[in-house]
Amino acid sequence: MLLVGFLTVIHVVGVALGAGGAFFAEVFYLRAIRDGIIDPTESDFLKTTYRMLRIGTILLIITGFGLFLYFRLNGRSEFLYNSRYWIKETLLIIILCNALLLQARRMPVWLGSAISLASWTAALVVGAWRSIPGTYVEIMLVYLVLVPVTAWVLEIIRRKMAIRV
Amino acid sequence: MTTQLLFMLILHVFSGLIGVIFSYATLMELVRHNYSLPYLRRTSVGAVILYLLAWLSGGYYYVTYYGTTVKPVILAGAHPFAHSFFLEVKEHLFLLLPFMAITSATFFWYTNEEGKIDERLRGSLITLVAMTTIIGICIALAGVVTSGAVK
Repeated sequence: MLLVGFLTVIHVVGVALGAGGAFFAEVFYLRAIRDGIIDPTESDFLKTTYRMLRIGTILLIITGFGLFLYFRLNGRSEFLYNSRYWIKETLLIIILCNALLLQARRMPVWLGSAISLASWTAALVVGAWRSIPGTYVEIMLVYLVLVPVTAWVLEIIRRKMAIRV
Repeated sequence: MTTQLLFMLILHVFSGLIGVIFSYATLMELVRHNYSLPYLRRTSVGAVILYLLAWLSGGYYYVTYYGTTVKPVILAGAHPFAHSFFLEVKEHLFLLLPFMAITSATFFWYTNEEGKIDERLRGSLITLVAMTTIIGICIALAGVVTSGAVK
């Protein structure tokens, strides 16, 4: 039980760093592009935030597999065929692909930001809400609606910030 | 299950998983325009070592325990496809993975640090490392499906 507690705590820390990192990355990015230039201090803040986000993702993956292995070895493997588990795996793959496309500059920043924010939010909700209603397809459809809504909200914030400048 | 088998199973899961993380890190660096060759060397060699560890520990676990004890349980259970499809695919794809990782690591190791990688060659390397990462992720997920079928 001590091992499960330890893995769960590190898993939650990973989620906090990942989801928190995604939110702060967006906040810092929106503030940084207000004047159209990302200065060295702003760039440093962004790099640090992305580093924390990566550390969070790695902690999340390793402890997630640690928990999976623990439950499997203790005869509790039924949750591995649970839709919540596969939704989280799918969201993780989307987050990784999105980060890769952003790094390669093959993804527009406005869309990449929306996907990152929506994916981390969805992963957080699905992770925390154990009795979430809906099948895999239904929840993923809600997520697909969440992405353009997030992009729209971010665009409104961007415009308001631009007006203020 | 003996302590030795338990150790081999844990080693198999985590070395494979961290190997995939290393392959992904290699890919993330390689798609950058100002990539760092020393970083690419470290991550690609790390991936090779971890895939080989996962290969050996997984092989030992399969031969001495899985085939005789776990496989019959899965085949008799509610999800026999977990073995007949997912594990069969996993074990065949896994044969390729270390060699794909060795190919990219060898290239990064012997490339002149001063020079830049030719753009067309870099494109091919991105494809190779991306395929290695994708196969790694598929193998990890196939492992989850197989494990979930053991009841």
